[in-house]
Parts: sequence; C-alpha cells; structure tokens
Amino acid sequence: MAFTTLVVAGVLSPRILAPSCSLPSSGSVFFVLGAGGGEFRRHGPRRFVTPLRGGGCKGVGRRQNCHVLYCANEVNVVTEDDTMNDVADDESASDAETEENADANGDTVDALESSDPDEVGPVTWIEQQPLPYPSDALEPYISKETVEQHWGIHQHIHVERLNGMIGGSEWEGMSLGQMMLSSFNEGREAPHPPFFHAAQIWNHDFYWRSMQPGGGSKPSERLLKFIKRDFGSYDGMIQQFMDAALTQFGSGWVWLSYKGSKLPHVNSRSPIPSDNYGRLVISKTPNAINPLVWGHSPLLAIDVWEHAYYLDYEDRRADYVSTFLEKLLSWETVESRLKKAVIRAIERDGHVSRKHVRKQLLAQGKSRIRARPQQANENARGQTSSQEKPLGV
Amino acid sequence: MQGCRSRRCSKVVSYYGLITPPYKLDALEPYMSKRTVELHWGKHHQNYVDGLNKQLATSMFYGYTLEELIKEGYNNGNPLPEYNNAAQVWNHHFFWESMQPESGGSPEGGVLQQIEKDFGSFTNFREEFICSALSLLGSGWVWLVLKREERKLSVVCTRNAISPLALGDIPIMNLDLWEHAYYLDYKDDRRMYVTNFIDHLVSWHTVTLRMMRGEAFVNLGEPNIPVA
Repeated sequence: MAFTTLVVAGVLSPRILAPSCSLPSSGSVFFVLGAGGGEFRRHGPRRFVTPLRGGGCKGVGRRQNCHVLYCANEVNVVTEDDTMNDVADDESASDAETEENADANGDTVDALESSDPDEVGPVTWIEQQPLPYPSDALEPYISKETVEQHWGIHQHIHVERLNGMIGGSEWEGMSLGQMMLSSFNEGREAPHPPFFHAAQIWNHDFYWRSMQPGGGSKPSERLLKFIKRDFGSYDGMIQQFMDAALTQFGSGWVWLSYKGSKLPHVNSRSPIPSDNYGRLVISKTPNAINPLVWGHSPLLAIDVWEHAYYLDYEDRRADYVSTFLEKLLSWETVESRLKKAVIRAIERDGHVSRKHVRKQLLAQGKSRIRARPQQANENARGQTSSQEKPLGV
Repeated sequence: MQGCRSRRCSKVVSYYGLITPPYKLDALEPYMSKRTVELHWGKHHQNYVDGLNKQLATSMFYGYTLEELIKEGYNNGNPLPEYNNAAQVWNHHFFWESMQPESGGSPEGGVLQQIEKDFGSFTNFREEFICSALSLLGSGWVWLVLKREERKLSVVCTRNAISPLALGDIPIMNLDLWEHAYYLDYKDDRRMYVTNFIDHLVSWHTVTLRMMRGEAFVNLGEPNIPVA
C-alpha cells in the first residue's frame, strides 16, 4: 500500500480504519492505538505530516511510527467537544473535562448525585452541560415542562447510566466525545454499551445549543451561499430537512452537517463532483448515532425521538420540525460551527499535496465553466475558500 | 384490466381498514389514559393503515394478507418499504387485543403451567418481561412469543417494527415501547408503564386463546394422560 494511500485512509472516520489496512504488521499498530483512546482517529494525518523525532517504535514504515507517536493522548487536538462549546461555555466545558480527568480515580462526591453527606456517592465522570437559556425560554414552541423533562430528567438518566457503566472500564477518564467515538465500535457490529448513553448526552447538548429563544429567521448571506450551492435553494434545504425528519422511522435525529471532501479509502477524485469539496449534507440517524462517527462535522441537530415533541405536539412531528426551523433554530450557532468545521476539515486534509489541490481546482473550474457566470464566480470562491481560506466562509 | 372478463364487470379493489379496540377508549384508565388511546389508535395506528393502503395501491404486494406482507416484506432483514407500515398495523392490532380493562394479575390453567415450565415461576416471567422491556434502547416492542424450534415460551424485544412473525415465531402477547405509547401518561418512567401493563392491563384470556391456536403449530409436549 502506498504511503499516500495510507495517509488518506488514516484520515477518516473510525469505522474504516481497520478494514483499510490489511497488512498484518499494521494490525499490531491498531491494537496499540486502541489502548490510547478513540479520538485520535479523526486527526490522523496531522501526525503523518509532522516529522519523526526518533522514537522507540519499531514499525515497518514511517507511517506506523507516526501513528503510535502522535495519535495517542494528543493534548491540543481540536475535539468534537469544541463544536458545541459556544463562547459562554468554553471555560465550564474545559473545566469539567479537566475535573473529570483529575477525579477519574478519586472518590469525589458530586453534590447532585448524593443527598446524604455521609454516604460516598457514585463518581461522576461525565457531567451534563447546563442549558444555555432558562427552561421556559423556548415557550411557546417548546414548553417549560418539556424542557425540564427532556433536559432535567431524560438526559440526566443518560448521564447517570453512563457514569454507572464506565467505572473501571477502558472508557474511564475519557472525555465525552472520546468515549462516544471509541465505543462506537466502528459501526460494524453493535456499539459497546456506553455508546448509547454517551452519544445521547452529546446529541442532546448539541441540540440544546442549536436552539435559542427568538431564533429562526434566515441564515446569513455567507451561509445562504453554501446552502444554495449544496441544496439549490434555502427552501430546497428546508424541504429536504422536513423529508428526512418525517421519514425517520422510529427514534432518531436529523442533522445538517458539513462533510469534508475526502472519500474514505481512496486517494483519488470521485466521479461524483459533489464529493470533491466540502459540502453541507442533511442526514438522519437512528437512535443515538450521529454524523460525527462518520467523520462529518454536525452543524445542527433536531431530536425526533418522540419524547422531544410528544408533550407539546403529540403526534404532529411536521409541526414540531417546521416550528423548530422557523422559530427556534440558531443560525448564528450554525455559522460558528461551520467555521470551526471548515478549519477542522482543512487541518484534516491539509496534507493533501499541492498537485492534488491544483488538480481538484482545475476539475472544479472545468465543471463550472458551463454554469452561469455569476454562479461560477460564487462557487469558485466558495470552493477555494473551503480549501484554503477557512475564514472566508 | 386484469380480473375483468367482460366489459360489464368493474374492478373491485380492497384495502386495509382500522380495527376498533374491543373496549371503549377510556376503558384502560387510569393505566392508559383516554387521550393516549385516542392518539395512539386514532392517529398513529390510523396513519399506518393509511400509509399502507397508499403503498399497496401501486405495489406488487397488493392483495397479500397482513401476515404475508410481514413475512415477505421483512425480506430476511432488509425490509421492503411496505414492511414498516404493514408490521405496525399488525403489531398495533395485536396490542389492542392483548389488553383488557381491569385484567392483569396472573394467568390460570394451561398458560400458567406453561409459563412455570418455561420461566420457573410467574414472578420470574414478570421480572424478565420488565427487565427486557427496560433494556430496549430506542423504539420497539416487547413480546411473549412461542418459539417454534425451542418449543417454549420466551420474552423477546424487537426494535422499531420488527415482528416475531418475520422471525418465524408465534407471538402470544406484546407491549408497545415506542414512546408515543406511554409518554403522555408516564413520561420517562418506562418501568411504571410496563409494570402497570403486566399487573393491570394484559389480557390473559386473549393469551390463552392465542396459546391454544399456537399449540396447533408447535408441539409443546406429550399430553398428560392419567393412568387409570
């Protein structure tokens, strides 16, 4: 397997990591990786680009040494947790994380968990992030009762169950995002037990932050450009979103996410032109799955489990979703998440050789020649910005 | 047109209808409120029926019975589009008939004997039923089924709309664990919902009837003929 191929393969979502490497020696590398936690898989290529500084691993090739040296326990990695940390929450989230890691082996008594001061309560490794607005802030679209039940009781149950599950396991001490990705088990078989709870906690935190009181309205011009490019029009996107929400059978979520440009497994240009640049996609996921495990960067989430809307809308899911889109959705949050997503995609794919970037741009330019002139400029700008200038989004 | 032999006959088509539960909508109070039954039967179940009919109008499965729809539609784990609606229609019908006002408690006679044989005791069965229901993640159903190969009663959980019929077993009783079935009454307290179902709502008469029918397909053991 060529070096470049493996570099690309290493980039991507956790589920393809194992199948992409058939060399027996690389199998042993992955066992080592497995011990280090799950989140490294999403940030593989940065390690490949950093030059080796000696190191004690006797791998077969440079790429394997890179894996072992740099993937485990990377400290200043941009984790998915950052996508949900708005400005206000940054400090509390990072505090919570360091607290979790520090107290993982201790017997901290969390004030919420135990009411009896004499008894040593269960350790809390994961805490629920507080709501970014008071519980009646989303009235009359989502009632206070629903918010209190949904956040206060339902999500809290997930937190309790998760904390009860991870003690003494390999997931102890990980952050929520790491736990979620590493317990996903790459989607090939059933995920490990903590995945459901970890993912639901993450999903719900993301959902609460996708909303704001007095939200709705239209996205900004820059975001609209992206939307028009990828869905045809804003209404087209809304229509697609509604379709996904109404056809999600059973419990699940609907997401708008930013999908990076690289295809898994192969380092070549996809015949589908839209696969070759970062784009917005709408996806629906069952139960607790979220697009992070596929390597996408979620931008907004709507909970279509029935508990999210049953008290307010009973069975009228369409009303709930359209109200969410028109009155509650926080486009500012979506935009800030998009900026971070683009940055992360650039970093992840940043090792792509200049020759490849030039080839891609040429190909995109060619396919845009037939488009209308004003669209051609817009799109070219949009694409180059997604490749090179993340802040130009 | 197929089926028309002369110019004078018109094509008759038939579709599925919604079966009414064998009790009034408020008869299951206080364990299942009237509003829940109204919504669950009147909206959810009705929507499944309507959706199925709409699909059948243009599908190759037109004319199939519900059981056939489920077995064929399941397609060995890759359900076809008609499967979800058909299975949900069937499951909900089965569910309404599995309940009865002021019932529950423990069964008698043959059913109790079979439960004791297969679970140890009725209490064990009840615990297993409740635990199984609580262990289901997401939407689904919990069933008491009569397994064909193992020839015994068993508690199974299925996700979304999967039916034991599709898996080859004989369902005896079920409980809807989709959130729409209990959210208005119990919110997140699924344990209370399942406990109330088993203690107060499950219709052992229906279970007995279904067991009797099931015995025609599964040999549960030699009859106990007393020595004279």
